[in-house]
Amino acid sequence: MGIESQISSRAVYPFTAIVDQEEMKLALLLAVIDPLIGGVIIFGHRGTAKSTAVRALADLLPTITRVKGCLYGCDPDRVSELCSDCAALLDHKGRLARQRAAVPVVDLPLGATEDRVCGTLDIERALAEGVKAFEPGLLARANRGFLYIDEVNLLEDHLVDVLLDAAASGRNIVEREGISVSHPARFVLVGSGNPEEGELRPQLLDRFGLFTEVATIADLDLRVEIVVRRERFERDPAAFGEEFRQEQSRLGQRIVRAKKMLSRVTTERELLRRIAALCVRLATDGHRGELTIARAARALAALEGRSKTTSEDARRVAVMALRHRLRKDPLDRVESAARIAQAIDEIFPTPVRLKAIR
Amino acid sequence: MKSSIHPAAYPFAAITGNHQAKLALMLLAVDPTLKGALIRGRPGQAKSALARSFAAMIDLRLIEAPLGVTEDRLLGGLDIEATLRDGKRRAARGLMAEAHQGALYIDDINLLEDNLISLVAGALERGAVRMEREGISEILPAEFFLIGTYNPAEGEVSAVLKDRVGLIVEAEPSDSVDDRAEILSRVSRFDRDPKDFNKEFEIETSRIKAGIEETRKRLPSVCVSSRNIRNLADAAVRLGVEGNRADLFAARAARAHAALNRRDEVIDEDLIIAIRLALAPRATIAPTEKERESTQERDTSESEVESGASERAGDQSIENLMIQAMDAQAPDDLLRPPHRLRSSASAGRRVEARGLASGRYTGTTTRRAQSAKIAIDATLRAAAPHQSARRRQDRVRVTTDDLRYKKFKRRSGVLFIFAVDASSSMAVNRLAQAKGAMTRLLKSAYLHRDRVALISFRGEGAEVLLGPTRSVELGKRVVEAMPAGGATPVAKGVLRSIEVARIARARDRSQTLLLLFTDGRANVGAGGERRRPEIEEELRRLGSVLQREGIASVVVDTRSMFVSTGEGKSLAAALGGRYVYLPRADSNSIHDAISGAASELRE
Repeated sequence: MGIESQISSRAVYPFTAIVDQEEMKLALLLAVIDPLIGGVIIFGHRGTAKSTAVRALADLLPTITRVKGCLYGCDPDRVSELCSDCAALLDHKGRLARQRAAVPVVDLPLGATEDRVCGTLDIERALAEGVKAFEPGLLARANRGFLYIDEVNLLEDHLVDVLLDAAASGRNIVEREGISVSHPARFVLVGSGNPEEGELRPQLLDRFGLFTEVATIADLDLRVEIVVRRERFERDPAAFGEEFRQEQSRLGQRIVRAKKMLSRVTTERELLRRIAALCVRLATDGHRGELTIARAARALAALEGRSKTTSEDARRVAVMALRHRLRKDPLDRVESAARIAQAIDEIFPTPVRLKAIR
Repeated sequence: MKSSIHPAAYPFAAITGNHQAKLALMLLAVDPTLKGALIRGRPGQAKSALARSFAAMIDLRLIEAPLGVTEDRLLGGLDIEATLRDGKRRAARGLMAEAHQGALYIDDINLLEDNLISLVAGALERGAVRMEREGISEILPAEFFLIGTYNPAEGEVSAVLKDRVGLIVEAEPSDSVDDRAEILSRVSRFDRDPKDFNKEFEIETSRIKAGIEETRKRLPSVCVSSRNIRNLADAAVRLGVEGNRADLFAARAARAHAALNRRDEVIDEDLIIAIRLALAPRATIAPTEKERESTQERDTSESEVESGASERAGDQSIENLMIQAMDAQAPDDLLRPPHRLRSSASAGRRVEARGLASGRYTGTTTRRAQSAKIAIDATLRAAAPHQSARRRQDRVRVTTDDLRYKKFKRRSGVLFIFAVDASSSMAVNRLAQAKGAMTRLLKSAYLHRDRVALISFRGEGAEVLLGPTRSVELGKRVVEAMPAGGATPVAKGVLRSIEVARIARARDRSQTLLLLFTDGRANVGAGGERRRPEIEEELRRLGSVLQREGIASVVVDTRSMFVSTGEGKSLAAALGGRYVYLPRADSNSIHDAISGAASELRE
């Protein structure tokens, strides 16, 4: 633990210091504001701050209330979602001890084995005390937080299956080595990768709410800024962090406000109709497309402190929400993004430009 | 694993030539945040000697990872001995954690399996290794730099890894008789008396060491101006370098080079070196191509007129720098897209060296297969609940019933090589058919970890249009139109396919299926022969090579029935492959035909 905090505290580059890549940053913020959006996948060129951005996110997240001592970080205010331990404790004592804690951002590294992802028999206790105790894995640690998979398209199939099961049910069910456990595992999936390394399984791709593409920045001024900031950060991370402290806390506060406000943001029926029309026009499968646009648009309105979504909000999130939901014809030369942009222009006239996130 | 400091290592100072590689190592020693160097070159160019001598000279901890290294040795895992002894879970450090504050050396790094490459790339990026395996959850510091050496003729290093190391250099062959004689003399003097030989170079060695020491001290005070960085970024853009990480490496290389030359300021010479070592090797486009593009853009876009003047002034200097950087014997294949492969050389020799039980450790089983590895974590878990019954004292008692074995999964599916005859007017159709089938395969490729490659042959040669890939994106980008016409060098197409298959297998032992799309009329041999019997004899010989290599083949005959005279069939017979007749082949029927052949391979 000592080393872990040392390494992570040393290595975190501030989110607000990331140059450009506005779409990626916006997608991540929206996923933080409304976890129901269903996470983000970031695909694109190597060396474009994908994992830097995700790892920087942890610093911006508001704290949560959890049951003290719970292995899964149960929410004491959601009695129906408690783990069996907490439920038993509540029955027995009538109340649960509370504790504030950071939202977990858990890395699922390549080379992870299934026992560490799902959890398994606690070998030490089994050897020392002869008891069958459950040792929670990464899915338990990620409950109510974020699970990040870099190089998500290289993830082993059997781990993908595990993730799909947990993502669909919000629970992790372990039946192995004489252990039988079911615990809550609700997490926001964040994945990143380079499409040249291989394709992502469609079922997994579909689990991600927003799909954002990153490309190499060509603007020379921005590139100079990237190098200068990175060098300054590595020379003195603390001083660099200090420089961005104000911006970081301002953005953190905006997120807190947006999360609070989210339930009050309304969307007019007419706008919902147009969102639906867009998805019909593009013939997306199922209803996840329009649901994601509607949710992401609300989160965007909340982020900007408005209590009503506008068609501009829908426009700004539509490409991210739909990019991976179009039926792919492998021989089609037209990129998904271009097709979506065209449909958006027809249904939501007026041009748009992504605003910088400050 | 061998660790540094051989008292009698061959002195670094005595290694002749190889200026680029030596320079790269010096820069790394000065600034380890350059993260590593890849040294490309043919065998026997002292690539490994360079790395070892260098480490010995500067007392660098050099951890060597052999090609057959397993995931748990590289990453770390459960320490079996300590865990059994203590009855408590103990982690064993992997090679990457051991290389912390030193260097990791991997010879033939292009042959390292993909999953291992990803682990190394991940550790380089984070400066730490994260273990989530065998009941161990740990993060260990691993700030090392990587030295990788390889022979590019045996395949390129994965792009993931190239992106994470700062410097990529060529080992230079010593071709002159004088040079070779000098090397010979030095090596034999060293062999006779290593100590004595080291003494000969004592002065030179201490001079280099002192130089590095001094440079390290100077480094923080060297200034890289925004203008310098801008020039480097500009060069990166013109070379089509992917991502923004290379700029950072280039800036660091320029700074380290300036410091090495006792300057506090970066000058053109430093930028040239930085472009040469950090940017040019990542080029995806030849600078001239891009130049044309960008002038066109500038002509058409009005909004850029204002900034245009100043940019153009800068252009001159950066162009000069780039030309000078590229001048230095840059081998032509460096400018090719990353996935294209280079010719010849047999790369299969190392495959046998690897154990059967390699690949990714995915789970455990009670069934013992041949050469199975015991999964100690699962075994202990199985044994644990019985310990009180077995009345253990200090030791854990494990019975054979408890034993669990590791299940491994290889990331190797089938490699489909599409070799397409581009000689006749129907070539475009054939290519479209092949592409259709290819993309259909790729869409389900994640299931079997299959890959595809595309080769076209016409006239005198065969060209790899797409190296083995799993990516639909790349598959789509393959040229739509290609030049057609000329003779039909079937043999060339088959030869090229064998090369591609060999290189791919050296890394992951995948099965290969060669799909030859042709009308079957081979009319020119690999060496340009035009006489029929000779061409046929050559194809038969190639057929036996295919069989020896275990490459299955299918001839997809695309010729219409009216003109067909059974040449496709006899070609298939000569090659010892299967024959499929699909004159109006749509991608579905091709796909069906291929799936049949592939499922046999999987069994």
